[in-house]
Amino acid sequence: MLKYLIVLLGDDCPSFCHYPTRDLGHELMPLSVLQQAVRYAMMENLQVQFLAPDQPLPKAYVEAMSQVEFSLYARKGMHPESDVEIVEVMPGDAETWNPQGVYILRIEGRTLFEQPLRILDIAHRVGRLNVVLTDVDHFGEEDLAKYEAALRAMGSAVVSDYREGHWPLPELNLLTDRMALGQMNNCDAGVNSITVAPDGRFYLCPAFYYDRQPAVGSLEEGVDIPNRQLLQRDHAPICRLCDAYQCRRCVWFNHRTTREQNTPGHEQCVVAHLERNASRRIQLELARELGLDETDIIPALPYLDPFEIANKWNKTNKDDSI
Amino acid sequence: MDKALDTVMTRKGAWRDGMAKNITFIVTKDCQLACKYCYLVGKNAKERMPWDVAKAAVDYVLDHEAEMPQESAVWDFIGGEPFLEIDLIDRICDYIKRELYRRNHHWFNSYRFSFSTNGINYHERRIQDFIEKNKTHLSIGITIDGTERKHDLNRVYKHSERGSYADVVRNIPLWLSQFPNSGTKVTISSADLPYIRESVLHLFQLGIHEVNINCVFEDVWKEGDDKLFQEQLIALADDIIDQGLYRDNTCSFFSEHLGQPMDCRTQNRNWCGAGMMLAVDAAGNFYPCTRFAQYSLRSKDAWIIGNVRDGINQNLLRPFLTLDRCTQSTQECIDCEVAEGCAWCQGENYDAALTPTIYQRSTAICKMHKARVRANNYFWNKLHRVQGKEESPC
Repeated sequence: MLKYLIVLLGDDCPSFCHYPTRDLGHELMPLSVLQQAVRYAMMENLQVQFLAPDQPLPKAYVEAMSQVEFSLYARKGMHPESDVEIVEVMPGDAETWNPQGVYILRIEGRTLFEQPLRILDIAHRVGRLNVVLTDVDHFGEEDLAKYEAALRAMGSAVVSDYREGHWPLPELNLLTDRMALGQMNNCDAGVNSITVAPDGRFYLCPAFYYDRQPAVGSLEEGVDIPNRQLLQRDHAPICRLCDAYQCRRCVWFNHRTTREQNTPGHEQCVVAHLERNASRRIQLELARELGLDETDIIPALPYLDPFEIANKWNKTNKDDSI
Repeated sequence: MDKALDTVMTRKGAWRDGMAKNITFIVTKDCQLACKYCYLVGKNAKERMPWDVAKAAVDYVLDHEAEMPQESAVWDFIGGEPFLEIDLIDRICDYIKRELYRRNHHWFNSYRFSFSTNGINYHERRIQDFIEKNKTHLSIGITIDGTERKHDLNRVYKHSERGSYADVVRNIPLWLSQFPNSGTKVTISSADLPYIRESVLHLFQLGIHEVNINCVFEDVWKEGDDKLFQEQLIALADDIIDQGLYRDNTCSFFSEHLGQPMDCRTQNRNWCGAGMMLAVDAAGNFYPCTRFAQYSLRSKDAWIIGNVRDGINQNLLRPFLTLDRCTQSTQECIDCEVAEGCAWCQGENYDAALTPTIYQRSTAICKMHKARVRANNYFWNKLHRVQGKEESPC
């Protein structure tokens, strides 16, 4: 059931996730479309997430937006009232941060591999940090090894920080989210959320708009997602076996790497499992530190890619139900 | 097996069924025929496989022995009509044999060259020479659709629309003398329905003891086709049983493993092996099955998984290798009380789907399957009864 409506207020909104944007000009969403989107959200009981363009919003737009409760995503420093700020270049040491603020840091894997502790330092200085790696689909085995090393370094630092009295732990999606999750917490584009673009049409998420993928309805006609069931986890043979609950399970990434929205590529699975395992290591360390029962720790797994157990043609997979 | 069925001939199945890696060379997209039910919408005389592409494909496969651990290999040659490219095929097969030996490959002496041909030029010297040279490692199926009027209804020459029956049937005795246990594959479309019974009986009379027959998966079926289909199958069942033909012949329409409900937990395997096989075309592109090449697709883009130069992108195979029956099925199919034996073609599913996915099962064949199940039930009930009486004459 849809809960969120993501509204792209212009064609030049920054990306807040894996997808790259493309140059579509600097037009704002027409005011009439914005008003229609707001009305749609009210009628459908959807919570609105506005994604702001890299330009000030006219007063009439602000008025239209104020008709509903919303959260605002914008490039850092562009809209001071934003709830989530997006950073696309690794910030310098002098960067100022809101200690309660929520930030999205979009960087290439290489940047994280080279300075994992700087990223951890940012996480310590903000309310929450979501790191989005923009090139996971190009990761080779060497990159995956470097990613694991970076996660290990950050995990060890988190445990050391704890020993030195730093509490609570920083909120860093790829390191700590999995520890708090007992079930999948995926993006669920098209299931929980739908995006309306400046053209007044619905897309599964902004990525599909920028990637020239087909629309799935319009504000006039409503949402119409063919094969919608394939967006759900129970129709995703690999994901339904998986417990990397923090994984974004990005359906656009899936489509891009495997051609199927319900099938993640190897790289996305391994990245999610490396993060899962990093959370597990932190849990284990802290449990030993505190003398806690280890039964609730994330379990160990013999694989990094659940494809190994989902592959119907792997003779070692005897269970026909998978 | 039920004691009463000991005398019923059973299908032999494909060579090393389930244990062999199937590698398909689309050597040409040309064919002498333009069969009306043919799913190949992009046939042409231009796309012929060059030798360097064929060699690179063989090299790729043999270079990746560890990734293809199957005990055996079936090197399949299709078209169009594969025997139009017999010189290329002969060269490819020689190269495969030589390389298997040189590399001490685990498929050495555990391989087949497989062909599905229209049979028109089967008698020609070059083809016969090839057969003689490779006869211990060959599987050849000639497609003949049944009686002349049934065969010529669809299997016509591409320019004249003249039926090809006469040119095929003349080669059947030669073929059967060389491959006595061979079966033929018959395809049924809407227009063929009135001729099913006579056609299967005709093929038995020609000495073809295994008739593998199926309805096309495309959405061609008209109102009432299921009734007509059922009538034809019941008439065929009567003839097969009354004339005792079941002792020496099989027709794949009748199967003991058909028409029961299926469980999503214990019977969830995908029907189709797309993704486990590997097809290569004249451009050197790899596909999970030939049905995903562009010339097979009406409305979707080709599903290319790599090429002979860059290899296979394993991510593009993941959807195929994790696909199961229930995930791609509608709730109606999952709940179907006669689901067992209902087949699908993954390529047709993809081609017919609302979105570019292999995870939407086409149900165009639904009413035909149900008609088949009813006739199949009739067949086995009658056969059990007849054989019971034969065993207990008093």
